[in-house]
Amino acid sequence: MTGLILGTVAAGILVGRYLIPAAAVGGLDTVTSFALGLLVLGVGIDSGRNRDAWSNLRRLGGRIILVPFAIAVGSIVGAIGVGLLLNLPANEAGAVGAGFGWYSLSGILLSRIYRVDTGALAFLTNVFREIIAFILMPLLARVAGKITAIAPGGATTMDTTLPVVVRFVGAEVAMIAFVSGVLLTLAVPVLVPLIIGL
Amino acid sequence: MWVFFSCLAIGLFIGWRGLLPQRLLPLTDKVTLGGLFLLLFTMGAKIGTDPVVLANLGTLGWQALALAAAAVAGSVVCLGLLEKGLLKTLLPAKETSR
Repeated sequence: MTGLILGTVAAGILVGRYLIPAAAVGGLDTVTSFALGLLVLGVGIDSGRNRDAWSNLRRLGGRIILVPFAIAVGSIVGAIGVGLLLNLPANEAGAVGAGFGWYSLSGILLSRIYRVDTGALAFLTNVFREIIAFILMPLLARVAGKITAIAPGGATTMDTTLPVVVRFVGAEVAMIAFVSGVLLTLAVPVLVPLIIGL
Repeated sequence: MWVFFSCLAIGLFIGWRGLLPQRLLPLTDKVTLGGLFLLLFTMGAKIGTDPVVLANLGTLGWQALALAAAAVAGSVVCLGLLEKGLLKTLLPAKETSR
């Protein structure tokens, strides 16, 4: 599975580099939207059938907010920590970490409001985060708690990594993962500019 | 964005009401998996078509990998502590146990 994931991304890079003309780049977003729609339709069917998904969400109630909060704090602190070792300023490392896996937005935001190379770093970091999430979440589901297993996904547990949650972690945490992903997604456009401005 | 939420809502409705015939259920697995790999492919294609990202892949790549790993590790530790402490009592034991 890991090889298939990395191989698919690598194939995409090669096709993007050598085969896709510059004029067709905008079409990529259309493909992304189509794939996302397909994905969440299937995920919705799976989650809708699982009654535990809803009862677990209800049981958490307002405390659900603690889940994305813990993910956000851990992501930003972790990125700043390793940034110190890499000689990256804390505001840059923190802002990159606050992308929470949403590579397109965090990359574009930082390119526009800060520097293009920091934007590229945010883009790549959050691409890697999504790939790591695909690979790590099924493993974490076996050795850690089921809620903990959704942490690597960050903002992406509302869409791209949601099927991984449903299939490999358990449909009973799907709704928690979805809500957490939505809240983190909303936080990205607020936190990234805020942290880079510090 | 509304297309995304409508697709999810339609899916949830179909699943909740059990509208999909039993023999078609394995199909949802294939559909989600197909969508997933299509997304991974376009993610790669976006890297391949972005000249700035492509030019910096060598130098920024390792930094990005380290930052991603650290962000993931930090979030796993924080959420792990939260689940062990606060949330443990909230979910039935079979779902929080190893």
